[in-house]
Amino acid sequence: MKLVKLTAILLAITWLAGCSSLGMGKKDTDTTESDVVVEDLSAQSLGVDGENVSGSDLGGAEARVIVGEDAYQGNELNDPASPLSNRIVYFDYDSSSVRIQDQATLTAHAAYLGTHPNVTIRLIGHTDERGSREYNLALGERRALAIRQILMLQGASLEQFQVTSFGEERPAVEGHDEGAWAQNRRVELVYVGR
Amino acid sequence: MKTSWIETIIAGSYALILHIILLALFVIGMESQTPPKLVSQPKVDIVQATVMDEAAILQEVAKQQQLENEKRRLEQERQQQLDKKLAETQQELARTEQEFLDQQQRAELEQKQLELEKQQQQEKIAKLEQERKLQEQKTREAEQHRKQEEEKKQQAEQQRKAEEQRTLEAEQARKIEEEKKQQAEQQRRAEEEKRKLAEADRKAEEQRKAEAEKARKLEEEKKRQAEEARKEEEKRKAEQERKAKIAEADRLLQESLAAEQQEQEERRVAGVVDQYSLMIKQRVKRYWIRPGSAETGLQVTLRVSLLPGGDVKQVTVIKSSGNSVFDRSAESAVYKAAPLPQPTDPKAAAALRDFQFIFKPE
Amino acid sequence: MTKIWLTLIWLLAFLPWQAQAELVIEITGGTEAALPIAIVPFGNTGFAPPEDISHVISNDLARSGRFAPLPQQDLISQPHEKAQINFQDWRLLRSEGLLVGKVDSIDGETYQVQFQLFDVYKAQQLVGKRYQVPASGLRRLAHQIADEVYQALTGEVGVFSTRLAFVTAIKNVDGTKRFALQVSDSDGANPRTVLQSKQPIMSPNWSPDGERLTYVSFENGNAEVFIQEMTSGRRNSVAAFKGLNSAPSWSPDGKKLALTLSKAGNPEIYVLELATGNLARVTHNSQAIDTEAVWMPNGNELVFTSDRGGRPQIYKVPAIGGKAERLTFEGSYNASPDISPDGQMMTMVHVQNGKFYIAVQDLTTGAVHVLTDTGRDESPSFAPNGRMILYATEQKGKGVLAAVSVDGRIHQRLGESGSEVREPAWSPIRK
Repeated sequence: MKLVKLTAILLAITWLAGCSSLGMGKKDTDTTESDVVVEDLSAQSLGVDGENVSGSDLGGAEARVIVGEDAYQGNELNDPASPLSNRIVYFDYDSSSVRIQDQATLTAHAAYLGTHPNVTIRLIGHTDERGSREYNLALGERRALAIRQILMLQGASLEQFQVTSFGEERPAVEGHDEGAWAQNRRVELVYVGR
Repeated sequence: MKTSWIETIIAGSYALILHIILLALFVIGMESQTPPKLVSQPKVDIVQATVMDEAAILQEVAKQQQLENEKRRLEQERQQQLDKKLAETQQELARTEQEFLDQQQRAELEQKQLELEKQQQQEKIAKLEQERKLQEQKTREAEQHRKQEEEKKQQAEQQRKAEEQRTLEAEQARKIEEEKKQQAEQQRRAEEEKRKLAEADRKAEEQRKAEAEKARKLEEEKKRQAEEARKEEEKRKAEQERKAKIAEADRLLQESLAAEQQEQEERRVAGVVDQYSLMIKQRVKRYWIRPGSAETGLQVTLRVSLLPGGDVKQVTVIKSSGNSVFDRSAESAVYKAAPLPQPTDPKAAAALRDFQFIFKPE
Repeated sequence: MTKIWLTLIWLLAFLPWQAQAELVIEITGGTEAALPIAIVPFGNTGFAPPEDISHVISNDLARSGRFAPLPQQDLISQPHEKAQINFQDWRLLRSEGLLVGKVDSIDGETYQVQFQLFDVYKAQQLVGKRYQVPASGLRRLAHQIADEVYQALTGEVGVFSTRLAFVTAIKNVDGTKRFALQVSDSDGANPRTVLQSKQPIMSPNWSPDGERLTYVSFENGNAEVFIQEMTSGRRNSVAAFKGLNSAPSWSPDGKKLALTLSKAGNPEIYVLELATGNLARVTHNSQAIDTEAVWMPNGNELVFTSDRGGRPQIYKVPAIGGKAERLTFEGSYNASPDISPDGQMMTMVHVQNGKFYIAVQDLTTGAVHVLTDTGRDESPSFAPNGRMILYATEQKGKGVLAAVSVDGRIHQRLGESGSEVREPAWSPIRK
């Protein structure tokens, strides 16, 4: 059973590699950008109610923070010997390609998600501090999405994921050198309890 | 145009006035000189006069003829007397002869005497004859003379008559002439009036012409004088030029001698000016804080006057950049850079007393 | 008539000759140094006002880099009006401008302030005004007077009375961070927090009327776009879709926001019509990041960052969608564009040898000019007069604000607060 699973995962990774090189590298055409899609999203855009935010006072507005409290579940995840205990994937500068050494970790997480379909995982993308904050925000998202794709290819399903990016806003390490930057270019995998 | 219109009016008025005067004169003249009836019947009078005159002339002629006849009768009488005398003489003569012949018969001794006496008588007779003949001759001559005289007289009379006739005719002619004259006179007066008017016009015209002429002459005189002056000037100039040429030649000679020296001097001054221009430029440039305006291609030209020490007397913008801040930056630079370097050489300093600055970023 | 013309022609023909005969000295270059200006402390009637107006003005002018106020001890006299000025004295100091003024208390709460700016060399007043303001308005008035002086002496609009918006991050004792969106005077002084959050705040952007700010807040765990009114503090979320809601930029007419949304799976540029909530997608490039769009001043085009070519570069696209045109070709990385108010220049983050600099690109010629040298510079934003570029950099490991003139000659540092400062945005000029 385990062997079959492993074979499937390996196959999936091989396929993904091909896919990603195809997808990321080639599809940079903008020939389809001629139409403007107008969507009426007035209802949706008001999804976050301004009145929910306590601050109507100038300067005194204190935004509420509702994220950041992780809920750890199951012994399997907390086993320090398990690759599942590794919840951070690192990236090269301005890259969203998963490095070889992280593939085993991702395989383990994909396997876990596949076997625990009611477990939800949150992928939080980060970048180092260099460059455009907005571009980094998008880059963080891209990194998280890259991880999600790999995990989905190895058995996880779409509804198990939450994807967030903080760009360079929440560095893991304060510092302005490559040592700090390397640790900040990352995607955090956070299991969310249900 | 206006003037001529006024002139026309004035001339017209003159003519009118003159005509009125003329008419008045005419009327007065008529009344004082000739009775009006004479004006209407002079010819009849003349004819009558002529008739009367002819009768007079005929009377005169008759009188003359009477006179002539009287003369002739007197002449005849005188002739008859003369003839009677002659006959008496001849009778005397014949009686004497008879006596002579009777005496011849009476004495023959007396004959001789008688003969002699006869001869003497004869001689006397011959002498008397001769005398008579002479007398006759004389008479004839007198007659001839008288006749000649008569003829002359007749001729004179005829001449006188012709003369008289002529006088008469002349008188007649004179009268006609007089008449004509009077008419002519009238005409002449009218004419005269006209003439006078014309004369007045002419005189005015002449006056004008004269004035024009005078003006023209004055102008000509002026021209002539100008021409003379010009000629004089030309002459003077020519002279001057000639002198100048001489002087020029002289000067050129001097110059060629001084040229090198002067050139050297100029080069030296130019060199000093250049050197100080550069110093001024460097100094002003250092003080020029130009506004870092986004505008490019700005350029301002200033004229600067310096005081002897190099201090700024005046700065004026003579060609603005159109940007007041840029212009002001240049002006301030000049003021701030003062005193500007000034050479001690007076010639070079003079060249650097007033000059221009062009400020441009590049 | 002809004679007059002939005379004129003759004169015209003659004058240049005469001018040529005169020596002409050409001055090129010149220094672009700061303009010396004497700012005499404003006089008062024995009662010291709560703000030192001349000090604020002096600092403003000095900070602009365009002026060099004379040191206080060099001021030979302290005139407060024209009658007291001996211009010759000030000429010796080689100061081009002389600012004098008076502050008189009217009733303890209201002040009458007057100022006069003189051209020292011409002994001419360039500008002079009188105001009546409450004590609380003295500082703002000082900035306004600085604007007057700046404009009179440089010919350009001053921006001292504008405001800055920026984000600060303060580390708490427990290691967590507290984020704040702040608005300050143009000199960084008088900062007021308009939003505080435990979660990051990003990308503040002013409405064209200067009355509202739009920004990105993570307060709900994800990047969402908000609009907040300055005077009332009222705020509401305008974009909170799945995925990123980011990089808001106000259109020049104030009616629309350009946004980056990844709700379709990939970051794309959208235009949100504020009155109707209508959303129009502008870019369609499913594999590339398209973000941080800004409007061209004409309101018809958007300039944005995209890595569709493999690396982040700057592109231009019609605001109603269409073919995008690449603008940057120099360097492997160009991002965070901002367009000058006249539409002629673009500033951006430009990478050279792995270092991040602020650069300007002439949009007509394409020429790029790098303005900064720290190598860790980001978030450039044009001053409303187009003369300066405000940006964030690092000093002693901490984020600070700085500004550089468009020609790169003048550099200034802003905001000496203890917090980490980032993402500055210069407000429009107050009308």
